[in-house]
Amino acid sequence: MELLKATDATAGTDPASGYEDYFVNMGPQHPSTHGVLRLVLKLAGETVLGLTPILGYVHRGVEKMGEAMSVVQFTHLTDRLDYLSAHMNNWGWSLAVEEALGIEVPERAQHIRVIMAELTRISSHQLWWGVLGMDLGAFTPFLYGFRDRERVNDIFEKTCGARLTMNYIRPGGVTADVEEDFAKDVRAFCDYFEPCIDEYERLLGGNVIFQVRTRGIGVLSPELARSLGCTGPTARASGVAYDVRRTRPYGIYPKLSFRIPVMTGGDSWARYQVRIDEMRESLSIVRQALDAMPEGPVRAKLPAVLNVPKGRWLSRVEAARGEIAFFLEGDGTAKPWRLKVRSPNFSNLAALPEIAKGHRVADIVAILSTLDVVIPCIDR
Amino acid sequence: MTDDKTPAPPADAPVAAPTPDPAAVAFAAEVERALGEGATRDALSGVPSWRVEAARIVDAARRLRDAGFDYLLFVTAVDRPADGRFELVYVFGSFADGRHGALLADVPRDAPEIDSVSAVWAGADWHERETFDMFGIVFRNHPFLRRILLDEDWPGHPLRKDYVDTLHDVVKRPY
Amino acid sequence: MADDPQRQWENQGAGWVPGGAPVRRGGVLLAQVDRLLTWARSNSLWPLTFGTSCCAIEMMSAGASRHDWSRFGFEVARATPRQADIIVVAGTITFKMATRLRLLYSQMPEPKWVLAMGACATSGGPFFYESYAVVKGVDKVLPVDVYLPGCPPRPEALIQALMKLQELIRREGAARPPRPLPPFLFAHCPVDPRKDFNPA
Repeated sequence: MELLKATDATAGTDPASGYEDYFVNMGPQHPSTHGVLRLVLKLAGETVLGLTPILGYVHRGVEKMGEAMSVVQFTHLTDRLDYLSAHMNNWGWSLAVEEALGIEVPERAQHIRVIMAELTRISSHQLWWGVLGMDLGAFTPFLYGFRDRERVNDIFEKTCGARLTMNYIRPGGVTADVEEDFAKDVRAFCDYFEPCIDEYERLLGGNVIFQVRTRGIGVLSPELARSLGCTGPTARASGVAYDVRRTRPYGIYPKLSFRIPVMTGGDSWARYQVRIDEMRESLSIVRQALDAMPEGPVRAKLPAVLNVPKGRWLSRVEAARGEIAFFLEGDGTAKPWRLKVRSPNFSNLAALPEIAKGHRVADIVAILSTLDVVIPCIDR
Repeated sequence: MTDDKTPAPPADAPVAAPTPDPAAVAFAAEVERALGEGATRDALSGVPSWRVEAARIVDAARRLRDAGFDYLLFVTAVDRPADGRFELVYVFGSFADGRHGALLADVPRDAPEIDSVSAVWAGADWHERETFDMFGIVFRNHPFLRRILLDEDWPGHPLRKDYVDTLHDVVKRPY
Repeated sequence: MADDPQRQWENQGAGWVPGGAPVRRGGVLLAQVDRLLTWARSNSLWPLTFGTSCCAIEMMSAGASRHDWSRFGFEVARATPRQADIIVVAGTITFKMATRLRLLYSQMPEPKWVLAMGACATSGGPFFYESYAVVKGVDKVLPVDVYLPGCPPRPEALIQALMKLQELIRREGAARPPRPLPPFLFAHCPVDPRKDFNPA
């Protein structure tokens, strides 16, 4: 209870209306908090006056664990951070290790990495869209989103062996070459899914209730977004045109042509629209990468023991929710001296207390859903 | 994993000295101009890093932000028990381009205190809370310095190198 | 160490013999009532929406249209423990969450069951070594009925585990005694284990 009072010592009675402020707990077990997140709300009636997120309910100590294992062993833990961008997390960690050790990744592996990463982005946005509908009370989008997401899972399962935590992109390349019908499956999925995005827009976005619940809700100003370090679709919906794939490209992104959707509204509707447009762009990227994929090896030859040299390295990757960065510091042995995961959701969630002020309790659900946070990434 | 198509790396290829990248040189010049004197370039390779006095950290942060580096990626610390210090790492960048650098500050291990930069970059608020939680470094003038990831009454600071946990059934890796 | 209460608890087992005959008393009429009750209970298990990490996504996939667990009666996933029958612990349980989880479990009315989904809930999973904050298996916190390995287990595996639980319910009988909470003997936990709501 101390923590509740300490979060806002100004709780009292409003002299104008006579209403008393009170504190309500939302979480850690709650259907709409996207994981175990606890929000302490200071309310006056139904209006939110203040909000304090309390984190750490799924803090597993991944950074400390990384200091006790080799750099290749750590890859399986990066899957489990933001598990909806598993391939991108793997890629980010592999980039850090490759930069530290000077490993050159073969061209075919680069193409496979991009295809897998963009398919993950589509799959993550499909889930986000479904869960957004469900949080606002519509169950049909949940079923549509998951039905289409299963197709991406099938593609992953054929090549990587797993549906969710794939551990496929490793330092040096990828684990194994793709299946024979990979290209056919991926093209079939892209052709199937493109009209589905229009259906999604009509189904949820065209619904007037959805529009009323998201337009003007949770406006994030670009100054606050920059100051907090918000990245990803959350920041791009506020007008901050920042995407790591364009600003600091990695892999074969310099050779691909794609748009970065940016909106200026900053409200939940803008965040929704940015992600819908991103799905279209990802389909285009996947097609380009697939058309240009060369033959060749898929993993560089690595020594048996990878000793991380003395120094500090940083790799930055655009995950589905923002910029994930891996900071690796080595001391010459096989185990890192320090590794730090810069989580995009951590910085995005920091915006919530400010942008939820003045809205109602039900709007918090809409805001949190469009901020699209995954709690294990925050808690690591 | 052992792929026959993969060419083995040439064993006797001479390692050429890397030519300095002009963009990196320009970036370093810009940062040093912003930070002024009192910032020494750190020799470790990888991320370009500058070390400043712990007492000047807020001033250095403000200068960097005014020079256009409005993006604080994270604040964290590295424990160096051999030197008896914590090395705080502030990785900064810019939303306009993809360059990044690190600002380093040392605090002694037995009295780790430094000023908070949350007035300069608002995102530092939570990052500093996490650093306090994991290392025990106290940030002066922080708006709400409490543990963020662990329970309020958790004993100790886990990311310190001398952290020994007898309460929580930690199993050491046997390999 | 054999009289260590944590070890005694772990050696206790689930209390039933696989393949053994269920204990049913009361003759033919009550046996039929018993069968009716267990049939009804096993076919309408309402899960509590509780997922902490990756397994929650596979749990959601099991509830979605391809794998559809509502065919088995798990249609209504309740957010409140007061209306739930089964808690599917999907994801890693940390010490911070463990005490809150015990509170949630205590709030569920009898009869209730626990399914430990995934490697993290079964034994700590990939976080078994070197993690200071993960409880090595949710059976240290709650009395588990079915363990489901996998990281994450496929939705089909989750449905198979739920079917095993249905078998277990039918076998145990309707007059199944409530299971006590295991002693959570880790020092520094905000909830005093002596104040746990344990059925007498």
